[in-house]
Amino acid sequence: MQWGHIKTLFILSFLILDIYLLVQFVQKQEEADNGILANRELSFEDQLKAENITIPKLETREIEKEPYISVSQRILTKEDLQPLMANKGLHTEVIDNYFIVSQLEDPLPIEQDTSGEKISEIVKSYLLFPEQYTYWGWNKDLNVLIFFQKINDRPVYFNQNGLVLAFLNESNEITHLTQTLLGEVAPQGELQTLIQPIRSIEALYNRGYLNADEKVTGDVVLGYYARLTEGNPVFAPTWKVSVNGENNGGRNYFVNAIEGLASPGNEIDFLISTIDSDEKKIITLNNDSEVIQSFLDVINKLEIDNRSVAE
Amino acid sequence: MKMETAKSFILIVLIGISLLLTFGLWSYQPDIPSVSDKPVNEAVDIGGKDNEEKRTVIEPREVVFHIGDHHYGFVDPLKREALYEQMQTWPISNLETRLVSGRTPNENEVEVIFPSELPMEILKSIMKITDVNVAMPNWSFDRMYFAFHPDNKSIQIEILSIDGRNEATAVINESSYYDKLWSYFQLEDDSLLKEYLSLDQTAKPIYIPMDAENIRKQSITYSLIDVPNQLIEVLFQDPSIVSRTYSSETGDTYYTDSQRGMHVYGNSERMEFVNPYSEDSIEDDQTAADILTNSIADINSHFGWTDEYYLMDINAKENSVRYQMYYGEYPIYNAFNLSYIDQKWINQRLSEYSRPLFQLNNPLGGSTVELMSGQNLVAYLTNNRNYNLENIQDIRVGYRLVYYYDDDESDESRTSGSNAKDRVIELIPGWFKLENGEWNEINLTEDQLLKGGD
Repeated sequence: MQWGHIKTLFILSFLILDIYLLVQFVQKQEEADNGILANRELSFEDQLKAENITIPKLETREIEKEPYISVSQRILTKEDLQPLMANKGLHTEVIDNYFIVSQLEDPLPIEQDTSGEKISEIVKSYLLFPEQYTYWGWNKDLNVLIFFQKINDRPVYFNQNGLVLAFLNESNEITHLTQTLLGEVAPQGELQTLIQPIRSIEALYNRGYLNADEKVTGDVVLGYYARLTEGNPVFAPTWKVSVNGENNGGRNYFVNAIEGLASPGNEIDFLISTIDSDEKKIITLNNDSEVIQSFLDVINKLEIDNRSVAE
Repeated sequence: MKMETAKSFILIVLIGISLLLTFGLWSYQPDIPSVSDKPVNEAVDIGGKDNEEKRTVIEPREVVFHIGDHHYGFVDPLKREALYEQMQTWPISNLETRLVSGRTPNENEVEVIFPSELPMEILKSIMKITDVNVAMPNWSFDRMYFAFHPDNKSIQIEILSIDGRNEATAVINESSYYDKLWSYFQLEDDSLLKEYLSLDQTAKPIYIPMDAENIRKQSITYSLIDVPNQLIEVLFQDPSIVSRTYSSETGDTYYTDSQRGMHVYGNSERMEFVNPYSEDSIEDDQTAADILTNSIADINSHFGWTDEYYLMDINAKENSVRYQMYYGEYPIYNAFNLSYIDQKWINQRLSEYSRPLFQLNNPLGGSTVELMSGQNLVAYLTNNRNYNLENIQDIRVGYRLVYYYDDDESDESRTSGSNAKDRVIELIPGWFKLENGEWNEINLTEDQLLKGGD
């Protein structure tokens, strides 16, 4: 009978040991799930604090999965163009069925401090599918208003194929508009996990794009961006991060939200190369319509002005 | 009794559980999600070699024996390669550096000329330096001299910096190597060595064979590297997102995944890859040796040495490295860069990569061509107003690569092309010169050939 008692005792003590071990195990697992991520974020945020870098409040988002997308150029049909052609205040030319150049009958004045929404409202009637475009900014060097097309309600940053440029004269009146449209959207490859916004800031920091005493301004906004735009471009879901606001030498960076690679977005370079390629397109056409000719005058003047600025 | 069996069973189960949990606690490792680690595609093999190293990819452009005013080089370039390979195994000791102003040539010496400026750091990789801890200076060299000390039968090595202001000296203390190298100076028969002449009008002396050379023209079959499937695996992070655009205008195909792009030219003979990500970074502290190390490892990783390639140029300022295709130890040139593998590394990342997409297979032979003799070539260059010897940086005998494009332009033949039967390139021997950093064939009209050939 002795052995029976011992067995009972053993059963009891092993039961207690098992319960203890189980609790330990579950605790460790929980710690690992939350703790490690939290620790990493904390240390990066501490680092930012130590270097006096301010960042906006960022929500920790649910884990999102998105694909890369490929988008082709939209080829415009007669019906597409109908609203523009019917607009009496506008002279419109279409080049190769995708590139629209319009000249306004009466220049449209824009006040210096007009809000983005207001500007979108003003130019609305001169664009095709205006609801698909979002106002990006006013480049003062070239005096051009920039609008990006939206895909899945997200802006496509700096892409020549989904862009509206509004050219202003010296008295800040819109005289010409150019527009390109992106068409069919197709997912490219499988769904991929997006990085958290804080990781995109970390990507900037690690590449030396974000330095001590600087400020990340505005929201970190998800859009689409293609680093290389040749051929049939693939767009990556991309975080836009702005550093040091708009007015004091602010810079924009685009962080591929899947691979976490940061690249600087240079607005003036983009505009100059876009306008250059527009010009080349137009010149090869040898079109002598009035709209095209007056548009050429505008961009020629821009180039001259810009050259004198550069010198 | 039944009760007791049940208790034993429960006890065993409990002991088992406790063991399992202990083991679990011990070995639990949370899997940290890694964001941007590139999966290593070890398996990709585009059909070449994967075992190049600095010591094998850097070959001397020439080995010249100086005897007084006379200069000799190997008749057979394969013999030159063999001697250099032996020299690489000779233990070098007592490496010392000092400031100089130029150097005075010895009466008898062996000059090893490399095709590119090499940082001294690389010396450790290509030669056998006995003292592994010796600190290397940070200047570069492109020539090495082996001089003889008959009293103790040792070889003195002298390496002059490019600007001529620094010199490194070292010693090979082994009489058998001394005897081996010295034996070339006592050759009676001229089947091994032939006389070279030295061009002194140029910035640095150039040595070219004095007499006419007979080299075979070569026709060689080639096969294409299966680009879409293999190089995309190597160069793109995620092949599934790569889009392909075919331009019917140029016949080129372009691949991109929004971060990187790859051009494959019309007939799939050459590709160019760019990854601008590394370009826009700020700090950059890699040395020429780093570039070479990274680049060799990278090409090894996908078996990219599809033919015989040797280092042609390494440029730390441009972060670039170029390898040149060789056939039978003769360099191959092509106006469309079809015989070069180029890479650019920025911040230890591959930024640009371009290479031919064909691999040579079987030589079909060809007729022998008699090249103009070095003597006549120099006379021709001196008398021809189109050439100025002072601007010429180098002259070599090599092959011009002629790539025959498919007449059949259809897409189908391109993709199924690797086993098409009549894909042939031709290698045509000729004289090539380096001027303004560019290699070009020296064009000899028939008239001059006739005059020169006599």
